Amino acid sequence: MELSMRDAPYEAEAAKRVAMVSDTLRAQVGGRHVMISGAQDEAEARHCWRVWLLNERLVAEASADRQAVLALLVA
Amino acid sequence: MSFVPLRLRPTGRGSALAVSDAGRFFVGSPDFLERLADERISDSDRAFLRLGGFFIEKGDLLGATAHTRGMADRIASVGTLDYLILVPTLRCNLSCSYCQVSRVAETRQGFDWSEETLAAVLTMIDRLETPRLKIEFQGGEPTLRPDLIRAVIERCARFEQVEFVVCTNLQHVDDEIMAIFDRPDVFISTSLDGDAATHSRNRTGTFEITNAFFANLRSLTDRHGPRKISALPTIDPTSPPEIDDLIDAYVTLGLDSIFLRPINYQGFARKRHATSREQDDGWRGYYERFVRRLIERNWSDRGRVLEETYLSIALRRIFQPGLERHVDLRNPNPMGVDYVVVDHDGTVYPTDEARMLARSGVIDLAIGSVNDGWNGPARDLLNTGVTNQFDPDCVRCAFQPFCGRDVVDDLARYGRIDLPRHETDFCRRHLHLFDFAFELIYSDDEAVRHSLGRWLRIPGTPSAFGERLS
Repeated sequence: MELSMRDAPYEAEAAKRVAMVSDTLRAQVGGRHVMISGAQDEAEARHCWRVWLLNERLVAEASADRQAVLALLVA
Repeated sequence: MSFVPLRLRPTGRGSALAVSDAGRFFVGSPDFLERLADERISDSDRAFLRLGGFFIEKGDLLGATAHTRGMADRIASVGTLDYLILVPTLRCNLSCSYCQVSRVAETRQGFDWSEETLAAVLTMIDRLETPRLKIEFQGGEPTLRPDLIRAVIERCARFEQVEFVVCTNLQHVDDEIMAIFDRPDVFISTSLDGDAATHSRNRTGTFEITNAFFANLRSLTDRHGPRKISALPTIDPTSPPEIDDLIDAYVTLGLDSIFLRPINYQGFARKRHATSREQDDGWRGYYERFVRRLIERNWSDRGRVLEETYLSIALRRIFQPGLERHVDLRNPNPMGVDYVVVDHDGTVYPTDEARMLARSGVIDLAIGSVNDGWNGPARDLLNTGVTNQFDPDCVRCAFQPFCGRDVVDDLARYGRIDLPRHETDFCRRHLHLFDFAFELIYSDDEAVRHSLGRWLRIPGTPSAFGERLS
């Protein structure tokens, strides 16, 4: 199941990885896309997708405060 | 506005692991995720989140300060130079198919420290400002030059605390070398790939040479006990040994820690074991079966604790921030600051893997020399990308507080450091490692909790290692 088209600037790398995906591989949730192997059941695929979206929202909402704390610590 | 410094990772049964920027965590139920997504968290949710530092309300100065402190504890503190990896010779008396360092034959000339290089190394040691020092002798086979090892050791008498590790294949241990090993501040690190047949196939080539290795290893464990010696296997993932055979090879020698490593994509392995560039589910499955077998054995014999070393390091990264200095998982991981590698010709590299890359002709990551120093632009350039704090993928990752960054690993495998993180072997390896660690942390199996407690070196076995929010 593919829920989002994968942006693959490194085509050779991407092809290699797709070839490595096994039937038991769990969803690979990345920063800009979700890859889910064909054997994934739909309920879990949807769960991964929902968590990914929620995570995106949490990260975006916390971004300014997170950067402020980091700036304080790095300074 | 409130600050929710949380990142999520899907787990089974519709739940998700939630980790704060300070590395505190819980598993949220499907119902909780629903409430969080719909912005209708309950009062009890809010109390739980506030207490755990997962939710900081505007004006909560104490909560904000605690959170900042928690994040600070996760940032590696890098001090003065106090860890040296020294390569007195590149010569070796073995020729392993997956040798990582492109060793040269024992008879070759010009691959040992010169008199000038030795003098420069000793001068560098004299100038160190640290009271505590650790020196690792690598090679080649460093015991081919016991005189150089001894010269360094003798020069370190002024330090309050000093420890030496000789990384050796233990093929030849004569009286001169044994005198070095007998020192209480000297420890031995060697390679043990499993039983005699496996070790012979991978490294020594003949049973005669294999038997010499095992005789020396047994002699040293008998003489000094297992604490003096650590051993690491290198596993060919295309034909891994039987798990119990590998464990037994260590157990019979009194060795309890096994650092399960696949072939490193370095040196000769780049050509002879090209598939070692990346590991797939086959390796990850083997790794999990290996750890679960250790757990079974620890449970059936509670008088002994067997561990997979890297998993223990990962667990300490999760539960004991600040205590674990392992460079693969520290963050940031600046190069050429608190540890350096001095090669056989006096060239200084930021890591041993960087040295291997240079030897293999892949990329020259030398940052200087022991004569002229290494505080220059090459080091500064490497250090522009040594934290995961600002990487666009890591910023979204629940495991960011526990994980690290290794630009040399990226260069070794891909020749670049700007690949999206999740497309790198480093990221995939550690996503699996931390996924597996949290699977164990949230296991209800008493045997699993028993091993976790021992691996974390805590007294007793807690009833749970992680909280849940239903």
